[in-house]
Amino acid sequence: MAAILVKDVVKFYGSTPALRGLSFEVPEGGRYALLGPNGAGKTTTLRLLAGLLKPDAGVVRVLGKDPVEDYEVKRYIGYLPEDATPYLALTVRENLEYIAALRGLDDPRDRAEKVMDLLGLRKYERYRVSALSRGNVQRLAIALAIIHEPKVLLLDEPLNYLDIPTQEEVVSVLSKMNATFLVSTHIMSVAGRLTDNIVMIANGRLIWQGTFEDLRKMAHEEEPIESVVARMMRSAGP
Amino acid sequence: MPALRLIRFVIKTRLSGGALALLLFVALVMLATGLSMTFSKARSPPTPGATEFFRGYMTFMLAILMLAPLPAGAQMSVLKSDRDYLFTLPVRPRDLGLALYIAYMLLSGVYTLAFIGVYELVLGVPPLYAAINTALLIVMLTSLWHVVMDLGRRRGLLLSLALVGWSLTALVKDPVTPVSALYGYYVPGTLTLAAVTAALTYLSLSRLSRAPLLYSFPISEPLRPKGAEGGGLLSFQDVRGLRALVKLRMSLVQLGFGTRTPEAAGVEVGRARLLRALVTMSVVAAALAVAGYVLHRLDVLTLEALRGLSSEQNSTSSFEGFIAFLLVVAFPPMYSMILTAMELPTAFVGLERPWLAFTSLEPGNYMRSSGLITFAQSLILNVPLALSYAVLGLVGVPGCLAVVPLLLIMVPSVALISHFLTAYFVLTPQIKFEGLATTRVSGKQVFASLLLMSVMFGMFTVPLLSALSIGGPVLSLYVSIAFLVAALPLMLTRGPWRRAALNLVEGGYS
Repeated sequence: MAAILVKDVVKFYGSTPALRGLSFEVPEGGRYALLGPNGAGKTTTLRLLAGLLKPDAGVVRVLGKDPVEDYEVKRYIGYLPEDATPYLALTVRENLEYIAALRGLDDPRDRAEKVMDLLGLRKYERYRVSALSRGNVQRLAIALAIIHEPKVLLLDEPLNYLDIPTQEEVVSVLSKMNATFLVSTHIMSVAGRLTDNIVMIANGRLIWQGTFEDLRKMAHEEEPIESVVARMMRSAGP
Repeated sequence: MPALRLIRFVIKTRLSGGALALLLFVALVMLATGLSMTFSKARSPPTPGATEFFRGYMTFMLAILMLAPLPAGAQMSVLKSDRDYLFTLPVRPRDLGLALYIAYMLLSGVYTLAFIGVYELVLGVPPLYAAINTALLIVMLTSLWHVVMDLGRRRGLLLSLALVGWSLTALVKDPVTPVSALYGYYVPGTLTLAAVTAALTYLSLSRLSRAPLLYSFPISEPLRPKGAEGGGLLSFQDVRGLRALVKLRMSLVQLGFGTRTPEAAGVEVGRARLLRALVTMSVVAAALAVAGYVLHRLDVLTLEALRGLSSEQNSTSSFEGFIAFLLVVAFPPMYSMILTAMELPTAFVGLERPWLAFTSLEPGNYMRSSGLITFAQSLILNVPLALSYAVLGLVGVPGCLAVVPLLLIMVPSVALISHFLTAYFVLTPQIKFEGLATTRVSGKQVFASLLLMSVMFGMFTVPLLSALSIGGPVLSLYVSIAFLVAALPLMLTRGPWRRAALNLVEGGYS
């Protein structure tokens, strides 16, 4: 069974189409990057998988369940939104304990401490989110997405705002996780470090799927992988 | 960029087409009402009581407008996009300031016309003075709202309070206040209003002209609010699921504001223990009870004094009684309603979203629970005021008993409905790390604000009608129960709340 199934999905915002029959699958334990130009529908796809939006047509399944109708599956989903904003009036610790408690996890305090240690948030635990730098907010958002050790992790630009040492820490933490990954990003190096497969979309449709190795094979001599991706996205047309 | 094009551009970035059309429609309706009232006044002059009613209404409304800028005020600040794009255009600073000012005035002008602009003629103010005063009031409020937003919450509130305090001295026949023209002091009143308007407008325009310099700081610079570090932390160790939500919301009152002042920019998020907020409300309620009782014993706040308004005789005592009624019986519940039934849910929805991303709860269930907690919070915060009014009602202060069901039933119901509407129609932008998301005022927002303002007037008219024995306290009970009945489907069903959660995401909440 595929951990993530997206089949013939159509989604409109008003009269503007975001997805026009998108289909792809991610097997259990797979680590996939979701690539695409701006406006391709990457964030919409992640929001549909997180159960935050309802498709207008088609099928969305996570671990075989519809995340909108069968919300219990959300127990196993970790979602990092783009530009995540945790509760601004709460402290780092309060945010973590609150979300752990809302999720019904055993011992929210212990979970909060564990994840704070993992992501270097201890020194900020008593700071309110509104007083944190943008990078530390992102670090907290990642902590909130993984506090329940999800089976499926949906990450929208996970390394945004992070300095290089923190990026290394986050990549190391995520790499050790035993979960299915779908990572939306524009940066090939980020995709390359966190995933090994690619789902490329443009204009709300799948345009290519394969491994990084397949992609490299498509490059001309000394052509960087970014150029290959750009060529493929351009050929998808407007 | 030519001035006219610049003005059009600024208006377009603040108002949607629908909002503009709705505002202009309201302005036209109000002007037509004003003209019709003027003609009917010529045919049958209003009783002195009715004239006093309109005078009191206008003074009261002006005080409200000065103290609490209407939703239009939210757009009367320099936006992040202005800093990023408008300020980089090769435009003379003076033209830029003027364009921003005129765009603001379009919003504030229509709101001013909608609520106070037409009654001066009914008060017998000569047409020329009425026209000059109305124009000056529009400019004065535009400038005041901008300056208040620019000064920041605390200093802005102090300025508004000072202006309101001064204006209220017109009630004791002070000819030199911004509203004295309403009380027959046409020349000194108009001149005072002109002077205040000139001073505030100079301040507003000069700051807007220097906007590129004043607002050139990095907006993403984090704010460090007081108490950001340390202090009594909440623990969620002993709760699970929705109980965690109940614990959070029943422990804290959260408020969020987007701020863009020269000193700081970003988001200012306040939190207070619910218990502390309750103590504050109790102190206010006790002070109000004492003031009401004293005024009643002094024969100022009596039924006889109020009834004088509806009679043919115009007596000073009835006028003072009416003003005392406004200040003690009508004003505080209305303000409480603004705070606990409108600002509370708006701030909550504006601050809300992390649960959408980070929890596994069913959205409809979470949103409905959240709405019910808003109902409970609003109810709890209004109990002290309700007790004070019950006591005042029992000692014979007119209209007070009618306020009790309004505070205990209507206000919490409006809070719940307001919470739902704010979420369902995505009426408030999400408060993000860098402050409020920049957005235009939509037609829906204008409509909702006018609707909520109309409900707010219920807090004013129902006790007045009850005090004048039109309907009695039972009227208040019926009105309150009607709101409760309207809120009931939202209490009992999850479906609409679920749709609201989806709308929040589609409307830009992520």
